[in-house]
Amino acid sequence: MAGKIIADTLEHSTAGSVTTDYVVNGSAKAWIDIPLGAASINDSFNVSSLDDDGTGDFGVNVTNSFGNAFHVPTASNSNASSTVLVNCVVDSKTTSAIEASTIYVSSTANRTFIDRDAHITSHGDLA
Amino acid sequence: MQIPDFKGTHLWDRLCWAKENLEPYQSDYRVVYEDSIDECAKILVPDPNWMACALQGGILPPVWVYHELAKDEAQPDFKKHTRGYLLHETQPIEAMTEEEAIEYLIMKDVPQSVWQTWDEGNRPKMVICKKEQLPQTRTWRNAWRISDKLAA
Repeated sequence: MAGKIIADTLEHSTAGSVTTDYVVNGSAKAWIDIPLGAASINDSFNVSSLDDDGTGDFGVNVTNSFGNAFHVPTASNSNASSTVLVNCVVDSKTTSAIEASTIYVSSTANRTFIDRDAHITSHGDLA
Repeated sequence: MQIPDFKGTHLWDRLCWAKENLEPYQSDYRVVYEDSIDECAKILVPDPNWMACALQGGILPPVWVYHELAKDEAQPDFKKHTRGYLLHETQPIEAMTEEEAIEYLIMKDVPQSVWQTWDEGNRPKMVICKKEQLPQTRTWRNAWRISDKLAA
């Protein structure tokens, strides 16, 4: 591929060096920004589709599968203008999909699903 | 756009190239499906960057590659993929039309139990529609079902 650089180490003039293993292993391998309502995708990388599974319930399917199911998704959401504290949580994952939901818990209700925007990033080894 | 010859290039590198060089394509198609009678209808939303790859051609692996990896993962002793090379070394598929891309995506991301038997029951388990055909409000989202009128 044009522009390919093969290097094992990156060295800064004063700050020291880092092996490219850190870059390869430490980079997020998939990410997605989902607007409120889970029916569309703002932007993404290494994602093939989004499942809108119901209120506050969604899944992300990846293009380049992970090497194993131990990749590490991180989920977040914006909480602006919300009267309750909403969390985006990962429910399950395989090498090719991440299931997540946006939920809140109140004094009167356990794990209540609610539509919110959501952001998912996952680190791990690729297949 | 002329794309590099990606045969044998890691799929990740192909996706990096696509992200940098292709304009995302927002498809109006949605796939509505039901994989459990106890749950509401689910909606598959195509990713715009993935759609750009599908329409461009020469980037994505054939869909059978994903089925092979899914078979491996379904094994009880599965720990990690040992045939990931299928993603990278299999000849990428040619450009698809938008409709062909949706069919590919169904076979990749919708459960096989749905798309292989979508029309074998009393009513269809899966429908391809336009975004505008979905309900415009999500107030009753968890009650969405595929219409019985489609049975005819």
